Amino acid sequence: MRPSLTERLLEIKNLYVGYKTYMGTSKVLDGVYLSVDTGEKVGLIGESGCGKTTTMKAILRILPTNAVLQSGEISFGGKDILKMGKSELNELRRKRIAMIFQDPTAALNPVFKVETQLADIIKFSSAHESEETEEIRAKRIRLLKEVALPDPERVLDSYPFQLSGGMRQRVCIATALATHRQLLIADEPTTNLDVTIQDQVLRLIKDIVEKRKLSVILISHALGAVRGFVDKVCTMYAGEIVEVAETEKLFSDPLHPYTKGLLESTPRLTGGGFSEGIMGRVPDYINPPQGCRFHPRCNYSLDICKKEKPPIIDSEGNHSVTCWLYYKK
Amino acid sequence: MNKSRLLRIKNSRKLESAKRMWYRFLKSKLSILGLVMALVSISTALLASLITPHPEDVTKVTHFERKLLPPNLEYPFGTDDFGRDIFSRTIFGFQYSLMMAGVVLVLVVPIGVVLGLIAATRKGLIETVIMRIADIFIAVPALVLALAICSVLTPSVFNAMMAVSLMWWPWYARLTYNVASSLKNEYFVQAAELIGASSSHIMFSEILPNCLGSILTKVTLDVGWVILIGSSLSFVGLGAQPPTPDLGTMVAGGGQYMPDYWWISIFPAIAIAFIIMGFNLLGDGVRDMFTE
Amino acid sequence: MRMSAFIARRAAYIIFTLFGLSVLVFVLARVLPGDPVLIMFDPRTPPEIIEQVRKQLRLDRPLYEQYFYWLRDVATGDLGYSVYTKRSVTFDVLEYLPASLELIFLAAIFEVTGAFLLGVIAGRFSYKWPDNLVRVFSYVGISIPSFVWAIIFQLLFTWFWPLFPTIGNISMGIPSPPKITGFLTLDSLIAGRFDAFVNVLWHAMLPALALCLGGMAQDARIIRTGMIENKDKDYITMATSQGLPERLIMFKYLLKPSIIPAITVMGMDIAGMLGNAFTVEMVFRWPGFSKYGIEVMKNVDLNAIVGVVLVIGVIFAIMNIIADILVAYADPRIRLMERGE
Repeated sequence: MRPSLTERLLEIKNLYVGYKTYMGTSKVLDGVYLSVDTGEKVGLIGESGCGKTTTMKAILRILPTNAVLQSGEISFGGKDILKMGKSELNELRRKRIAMIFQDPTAALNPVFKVETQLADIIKFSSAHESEETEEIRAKRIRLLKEVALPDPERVLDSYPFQLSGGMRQRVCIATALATHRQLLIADEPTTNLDVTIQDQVLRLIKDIVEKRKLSVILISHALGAVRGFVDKVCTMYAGEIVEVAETEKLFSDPLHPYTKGLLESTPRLTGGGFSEGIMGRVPDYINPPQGCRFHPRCNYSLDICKKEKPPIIDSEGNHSVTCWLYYKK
Repeated sequence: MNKSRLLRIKNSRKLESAKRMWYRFLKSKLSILGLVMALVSISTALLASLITPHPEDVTKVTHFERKLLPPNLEYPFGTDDFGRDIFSRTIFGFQYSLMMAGVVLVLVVPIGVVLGLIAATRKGLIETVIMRIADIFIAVPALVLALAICSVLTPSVFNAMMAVSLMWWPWYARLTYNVASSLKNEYFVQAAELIGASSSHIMFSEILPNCLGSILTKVTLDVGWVILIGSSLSFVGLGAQPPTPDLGTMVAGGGQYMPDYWWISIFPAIAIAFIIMGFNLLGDGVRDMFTE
Repeated sequence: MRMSAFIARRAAYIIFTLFGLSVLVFVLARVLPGDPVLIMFDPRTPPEIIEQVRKQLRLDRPLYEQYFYWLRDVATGDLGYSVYTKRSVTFDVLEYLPASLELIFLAAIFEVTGAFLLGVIAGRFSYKWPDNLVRVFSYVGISIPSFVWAIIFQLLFTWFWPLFPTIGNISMGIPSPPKITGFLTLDSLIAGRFDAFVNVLWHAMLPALALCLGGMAQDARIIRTGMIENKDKDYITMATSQGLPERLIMFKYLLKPSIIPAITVMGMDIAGMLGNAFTVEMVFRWPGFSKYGIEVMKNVDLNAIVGVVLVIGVIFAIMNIIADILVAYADPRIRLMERGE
């Protein structure tokens, strides 16, 4: 196990979240567990719709109005976020955790200039809440420079739709840096950007994380990006964490059938041949499969997989997998 | 896949989407209420002759011996200054109002929609002419235009209907034009053009079905609007003339007897509100049906 | 596109439309059956006089000539001669229009304030009882024509609970201030007559309310829907995730995008009040433009009808332009993105 010198920063335990729809309640998160230590960088991978964003939103308690937080515990620095009162929660959001969203266009308010939005964020997230406007103005420019935006004045005076996608995402990153927060959640920060820009923005995030010594949760489809960045990777499927391991370990020796399929689906530059992909689709969350949620698509499923949910099994130290295949009596 | 299998898939998809639309409609209790109110209004209008207790009061009769009676068992809405049963007249009022809405919309919708489609698909001069003419009618508040047109004609129910129809079609032309124009750039239209489909086929089989949602919503809401304008017209005296039991005329007729004999105006007024509210709620439901 | 270019474009478009309107009304007024001259006079009038008047009104000339002369007159401010009032139409317009505009102005203020308050309350407490109350009100409000509201208010608040005056725009016992602008309220203020000012406002309360209630209901609903829909948008989620205070988010970042669709509708409503004023003024016997309009319409006074429609058209157009400007001002996307069209 990891030496107990590093502190556990964030710990999610047994998180169950659903969404109310007119066809019933969809049970999306089915007992999610996740942990981040101080200074640790954690990657979260999985296909679209498996609940990654839902989990992240649950951490900051910014789930949409039709979401139902059924049960679970999210502790940050020893306190349970899910039980926090309003002012404590706002403290958390202002000074401890920041999130970068997937779609920078949607994340910025279209009818306000960048300078207005930044000013408010700086004002309310800074240590001294009533800063002078001069300070705010200077800080805004500093932040924009930190995210490598070439012409901060012009950016500030613009509306979001006047900026390019990459610039918008940089502005969003700047908002995340307004205070010295401890944890950065990056939810697919580059997926919606042009391919040519993706690398730049990812490198920017890397630099900032190094410089400020932040802990990170990085969600991404770009497995290569994840591999070169994080210490530990979690694979998520249909609302469950199915495997957690140190980065190299996961990529070289994946245990869970889903992780295996996921890694094999990535086309390779060398080696030839097309990947098979994984048959089937994300399950219906309103009537999810009984037992292990992956069993309908699994090539290795056993009888018990159809009936009972597999437990979390610790294999060889820092590698855990949720699968009956590795269950030893 | 053979033809019949394709057809079955196509029909089952249509059925599925119809079921989904119905789900969405039923989601809102208010829409259901609207449907009920609208159905009640329509049935009252259709069955008017059968359900009125005093059908003769609709005409030019006078029963001065029972004039200005407050609501009671025999005359639930009271009697007016000619002794006529207001309840019966109100029921026939439903008929007149809905008839007006029906006639106007039946005239206006096809003409307006077709003109809008033509304007959208054949750009150039035709488009400009049609749309500019439509704009002229939209440039003035509806009621004012209706009043103006009505005023140069002899006041009557028929002329009121004609006047309202004349100024109403541009709204449908404009709506269809807007929706159709935005659809024109969609791939499926370009695909049809490439195959060599005739422009009338494109208009009616490709573009029109996609406009139906907006058009249907507007039609439902317009029943309320037409009745509102119609009753305002007759209230002012430029539509139906007494003794026609038009709801607006009845409200106006009771004006001089306010407030002591309030029932003469109030009950027809409530009837107007009832019909309009029903179709407004229904219209919202129809809109929900077509919104994903 | 700069604001001035934007306005210029809209204005040109509207002028063109009004031209077309004038042609339409003009033609309709002269083409439809009925001899306008005969209506003017007593049937016993000798035919020579009728002919003379006809010549004077240029009704014997071809249609396009009539239109041309009329157009020229309008350009100089002469809207023709009203058979009904026996005065120039322009004079009539200037006499009666201000009273209606006063009413509409007050109604507009009510509508905007009311819509804001109700919409925001409903959005803030969505799905709880304040919201449900507002929703019920909005459905009822939209469905009831202005004149029905007018009658109900008159019944309730001038008879059952005599809180307001029944008719007219100023009480009998109070002398009117000297006429400077034609607007009773302004003239009262100018003359320092606060008693008259308050009295006129008091008379205007109910009719203004009747005028604006339908629109207010509609706008409140749009604002409410906007706030509920936008509440789950990403930019609000992001603002919340940054820990911005709830009040700030609600009244600044959520409100602004939510009211933009409402501004367009508000503009249309307020412009539409020009029409609805016709019926409301009748109920309350408010001495405004509509009463004049209806009288001339009933009497088929052609010049006056054309004049009335044209004046209303112009005011309507101006109101729409103002609404467009407001929307462009509030929503930068509209203002700045026209360039790309």
